[in-house]
Amino acid sequence: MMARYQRQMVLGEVGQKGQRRLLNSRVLVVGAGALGSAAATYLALAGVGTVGLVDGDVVELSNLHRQILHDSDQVGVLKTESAQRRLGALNPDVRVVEHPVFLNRDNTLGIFAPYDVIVNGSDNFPTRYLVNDAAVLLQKPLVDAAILRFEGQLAVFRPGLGCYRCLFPEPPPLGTVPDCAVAGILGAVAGVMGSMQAVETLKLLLGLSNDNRLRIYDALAGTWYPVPFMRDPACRVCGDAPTVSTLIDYENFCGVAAGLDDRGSGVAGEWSVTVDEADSLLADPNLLVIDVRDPREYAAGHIPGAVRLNLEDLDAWVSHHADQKTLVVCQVGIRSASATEYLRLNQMDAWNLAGGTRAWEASGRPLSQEDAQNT
Amino acid sequence: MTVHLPGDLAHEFGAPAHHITTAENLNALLQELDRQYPGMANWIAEVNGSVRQHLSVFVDGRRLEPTAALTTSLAHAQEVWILRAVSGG
Repeated sequence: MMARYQRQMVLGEVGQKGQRRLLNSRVLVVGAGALGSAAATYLALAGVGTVGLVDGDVVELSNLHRQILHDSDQVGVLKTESAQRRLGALNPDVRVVEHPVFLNRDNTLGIFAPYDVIVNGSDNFPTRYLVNDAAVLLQKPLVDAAILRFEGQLAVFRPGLGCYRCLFPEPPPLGTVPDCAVAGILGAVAGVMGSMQAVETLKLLLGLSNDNRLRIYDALAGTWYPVPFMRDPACRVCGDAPTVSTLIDYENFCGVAAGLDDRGSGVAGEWSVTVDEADSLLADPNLLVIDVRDPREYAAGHIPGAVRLNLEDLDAWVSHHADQKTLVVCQVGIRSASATEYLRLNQMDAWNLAGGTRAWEASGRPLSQEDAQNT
Repeated sequence: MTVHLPGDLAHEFGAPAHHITTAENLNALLQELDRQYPGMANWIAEVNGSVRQHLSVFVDGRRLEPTAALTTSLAHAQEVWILRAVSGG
């Protein structure tokens, strides 16, 4: 049985003793998606004795460019079932425990209880805060990661040394942070971050982990940046006087229960519209679409009829268009959100296109490279 | 001091992700960023001066209170991180 791990046991930091420790360990991976696929794969290959997987989703075709536990034959199959088959084939020594459910305030503590370490690969904020709070309440180490576009964030939270809420006490307002469906993700970035979660988990199990850093991976620059952090004494979960002593309604905490949908990136969430919602605005002949990107971006493709406006010229523009109903557009909805908020502060009837021209194009609507004009 | 911006913010404004500055406090830093990248300060701070709820500012490893952030001295800081959580998994 141990022969499988010979190259790993050669490492002085592992050895036979460490390998036995791994074989007797229990790790729970939350989410059998992109991060969870990579993390669970390396944990199983390393001989972690019990690997639990929590996920209520089924495999979809759009998952396959980054979720390496699943393949085309598994589309429509529960992710935990698909993962169990793959991990079992990779290493039959490992006991894979399926939890084919979505975590909530009622089931999380019970699911977490038997495990030594929690690995968080969830894909939404309510689950991230739920997983964090449950790990703190149960005094279990949490290996957390998140990804977007070409960026990854990784942190190891050990009991008593800080938690996710010490980094981000409040969830972002709904719609201010895009998800991978809107902003995109390079599949291999998820592989890097999930593999790093496995590395950090193995270090924890082997007693080799001792630092408190958020690590930020910039795939475009090819660099890692360590951001040291400390436990926040005012943290509501792990601080000196915690006010969260049991799990709460995380959908409500993150604003999801308010019935708002995802408005994409930007600071003007309440004035953001999706591409579909923009259709009704565009039906108004008095609506003006202004594009706040630079001339090069505008020339490469803009919404037909949109006029270009430099952000620095916004102030002057407002003074001459006080009654103008406006839809503001940029590449992904960040610059336009700032502009929209500014227009709203000036009492203008302005709207932000969530996801920008990228979402517009992704919806199948045309972009124009003609009638380039500036205001 | 080096100021690190969220990757997607830097990308959207065509700014480098890492910015060298001698700004003495966060307010001065935001003004400096906004001069170079119009609209960026509004993305980072509310009109009332507080750092936006979904951002965390860390100065040499310590998180600033949002309400104190703009007036807090950065005179001796080495590293300032403006972070925002992402949720993709």
